[in-house]
Formats: sequence, structure tokens, C-alpha cells
Amino acid sequence: MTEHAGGGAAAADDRPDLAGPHPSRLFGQLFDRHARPLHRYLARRVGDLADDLVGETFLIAFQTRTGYDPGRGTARSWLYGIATNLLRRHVRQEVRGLRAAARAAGSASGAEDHGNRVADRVDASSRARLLAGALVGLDEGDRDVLLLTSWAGLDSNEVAEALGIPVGTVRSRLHRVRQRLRAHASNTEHTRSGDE
Amino acid sequence: MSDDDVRRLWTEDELDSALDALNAHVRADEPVLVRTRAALLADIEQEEEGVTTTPQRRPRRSTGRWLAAAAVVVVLVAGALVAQTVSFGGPAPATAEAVRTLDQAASTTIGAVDEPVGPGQYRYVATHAWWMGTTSVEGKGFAWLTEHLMETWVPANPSDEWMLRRDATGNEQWVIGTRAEAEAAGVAGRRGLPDRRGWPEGEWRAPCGDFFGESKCQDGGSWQNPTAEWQAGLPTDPDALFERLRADVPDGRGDAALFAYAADALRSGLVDKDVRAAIYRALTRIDGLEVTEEQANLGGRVGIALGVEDDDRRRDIIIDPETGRFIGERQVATDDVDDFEAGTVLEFTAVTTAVVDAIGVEPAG
Repeated sequence: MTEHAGGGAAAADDRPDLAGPHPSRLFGQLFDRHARPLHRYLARRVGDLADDLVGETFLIAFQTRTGYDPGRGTARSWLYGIATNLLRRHVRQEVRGLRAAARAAGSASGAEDHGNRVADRVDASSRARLLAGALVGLDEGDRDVLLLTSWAGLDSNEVAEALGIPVGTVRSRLHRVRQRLRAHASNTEHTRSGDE
Repeated sequence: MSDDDVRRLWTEDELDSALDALNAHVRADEPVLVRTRAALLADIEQEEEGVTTTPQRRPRRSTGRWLAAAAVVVVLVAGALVAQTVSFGGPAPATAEAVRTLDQAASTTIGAVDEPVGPGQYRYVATHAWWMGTTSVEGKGFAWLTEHLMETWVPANPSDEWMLRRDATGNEQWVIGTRAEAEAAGVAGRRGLPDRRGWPEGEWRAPCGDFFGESKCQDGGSWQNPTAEWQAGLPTDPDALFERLRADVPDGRGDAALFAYAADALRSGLVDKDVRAAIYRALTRIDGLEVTEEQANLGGRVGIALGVEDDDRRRDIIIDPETGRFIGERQVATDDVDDFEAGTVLEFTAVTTAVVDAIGVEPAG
């Protein structure tokens, strides 16, 4: 199995001693390793606010670095935990964005002539719109578990570390949320496509 | 409604594909990330030096506030567009001159030859980016552009190892104030200012160009990561390509955002000539696009600038009219904002490409 930076496979060496000397070098490395995926995750959740939230996340990480225990989790899950707390202040923004995505004028029509690949993509994007509507109805904690897993690529252990909850809780929540979305979003799809 | 009770659940795969597609096309603004990094390290160094942190600190702030104001406007515009869903009555279409320039660039591009990357060879992409840093001391603002050289070696087979070398060259251009004034005010040499501290430098190697853990090997490609496979899946018809662009950019943020996404792809230096030509033609559909300068000089290379207004700034791409080559892009202030006068170049990026025989080796000449 090939390894490359940032993936789950790299977790083993993602436990730096952040309370050590030369913090600027340590945090420079930490930033280079995690800032882009973190920015992408935050941007997918709250759009342009991500630009500020990335900086805030790393600044808080620096200020609270003595509280990071490499024995308890990876730096990545710790950073996503901080970011998750910051996201809580922007729930309304996130919900507004999801509603807009749910309503967005899609490209579903007139795409047949570009072949199956495009049709597949259009299916995925119209499904994404339905999903956006369904995500609005989740509570924040459920949304965190789902999106930390799906968008940030954290495994159940890392999600548990990030949110400070038992890993069993993460797994059962994830299962429940996914069941609910599969039913709810497809339900909406069914209703909407009734006139076809 | 009761007849609808026979409901089909989404499969796990369908849910995953919906999750993958939702908000998938977000872009990371590299200058913002670089400024954020520099501000972080400046804060850390300040603390290390035992300097008491003052509430208004941080070199990022001034630009940050300015950018935040821009972001607010963007959000409001997005809301307005959502409310009226489809119909626009607003901005003028691209000017005839802009359309002519892009059409001509597209024709020349199609006739050009992309130097092929043979087995064992690399496409070399050099990006000279001049990004802005700002700070203020006791009400006196400073702003300067710092040159960042990013060199990328892309193997013939993208799943082989790529290399990225980043270097803050130390070259700077002062926009507000001078280095001497900054030193006299006691800000130079600290807080990641005109010195090179805080800017990312070094070498990274990774397959698929995934230097920063963004899972690019699994990524289907995007305007920000224009893989060959992604390019092959784009429509060739300009109208269809424009619609595709519109569909890929999150919730109707206006044509300036479409322009920015197209520029992301062009800036990569990896877009095939036929796709490049199609993008040029698609851009003729951008509302408000115009030729903004006939002889725009981008770090010594001159081309024709085409731009579109984006709130308090204008985004330009610069194309060589002779060859159709994409030379680079820039952002120019269109209003007096904070301390910046209208017409100030806020950042610019020049891109060159070549084919080289080995990783890490720069082209001769």
C-alpha cells in the first residue's frame, strides 16, 4: 500500500510533540501538512468563512498546544476538533448555504447529448442538491460526524478524538444518520420526480 | 401522496456520490493561505520573543478586513441571485473587442503545438506569483508585493512522483510606504514582514501532485486540479463548456467567479491546447468581460489583458496575442479601498512551461 501525506495511512507519524522547542518550525510543518485539506473541508461547509477559520484554528492550536497529548490522538483529529468548535458559531451561515445549494438551478436538463459520463455527473449533482436539503434537517453533532468522515476523510477513531466522544457513539451515529439520509433524500427525490 | 409510499432508498453508493458531489468545487485561494501561514508564524515568533501581543496585531488584518468586506458583498449578491433563480437582466455581455481577442487566441492556440512530454520527461511549470503583505503601525499602513516562485515537475504519467519547489525569492515591490519607512517604524524584520520568515519554502514530492494531503490520486479532477481525465470529460462546444463552468461554481456567485475558476485551470499550466482554446471561447460568454489593457506587462512578459470586475477589484487574465499562450493573471483595485488607490495591482502571477529531462532540473536558458 502506498502512503502519501494526509491520508489515514499517515496517521502513525502525525503525533508531534507540539509543546517542544522551535514552535514556529513545528507549526509551519503542521500548517503545510494540514491547512489545505482543512481549508477545503471548511470551505465546503461554510464557504468563504473558511479563509478566516483556518487561521483561527491554527492560532488556537498554538495557544493551547500544551493541551495536545500525542498519546490521545493525531494532530489532525485535534485540529479538526478545534475547527469543529469554531464552526458552531456559524451554523446559520452553513444552513443558509445548504438551503441555497438545495435550490440552486441545476444542469439536469439538456445534458443527455454529452454521453453517459456527463449524465452520471448530472445525476450526482442533482442528488447532491437533494442531499443538501436533507442535511439542513440534521442536528450539528450528526452533521459533524457525517462530514468529518465523508469530507475530511477521518476514520471513526479520529472523529471520536476530534469530538471527544466514544468511538462506539461515532459508529452508531454515523449508521443512523446515513440510514436517515438514504430514506429522507430519496423520499424528496421521489416526490420531485413525480411529474416526469 | 399516499401512493408514493413505495419509496426506494438510496443505496450507500448513491449517498456517497451525493456527498462527494455536494460543494465539491471549492477553491483555495493560495495567497490567502500563504498570508495566513505568515500571520500564524509571526504571532508565534512574537510570543517566543516575549513581546506582548497587542489586540490589533497581525499583518493579515488589514487585508483580511478588506477581504472580509468583499466577502460580505459576495454573499449578498449570492442571496439576490438565489431569490431570482434564473433570469438576469443585469450586466452587459462581453465587449466585441474581448470576444474578438479570445476567438483569435483560441484559433492560434488550436494551431499551436504543445511540446509533448515523452517517457521519463517532465512538464516543468514555473509560477512567479507576487502576493501582497500588509501591516500597519500606529495608523501608518504598509503594503508590498513579495515574489514567490513555485516550480512544479509533472511526470508523463501523473500517478508517478511529482515535485514542487517553493522559494520566497526575496524580491519585493513596495505598494504603500517603503522598506526604509517600514524599518524606521520598527516593523521590518519582525512579524513575517519584508524578510522571508513565514512564507512556505522547500521541496515536496508526491504522486498526482498531492503534496498537501488532498487525496488528489482519488480526485476526479476539477478546475483547480485539471487532470487529463477531467479535461477529456469536458464538453468541447463553447456554450456547453460555459454551462459546465456555471454548474461547477457554487451557488451563482456571478460571472467573476466563473472567470476565477477558468483562470485556476489556465494557471496550472497543464491544460491541453484544445481545452485551452475551448476555455477561451467559453469565456466570451462572461458578462462584463472587456479588454482592459493592450500591452499589459507581467513581470517582463507583455500580453493583452482581459478582465471582469469583481466587487472592488478587477480580475485580468493576460494572453499572448501572437501565440494564444496564457501568460498569467492579476488583480487590480477598481475603487479606492482602505489605502489602495484605484488602479493599484494587488497581486499578479506569471506562468511559463517547458519540457525537461529530469525531475528537479530547470530548463536551460
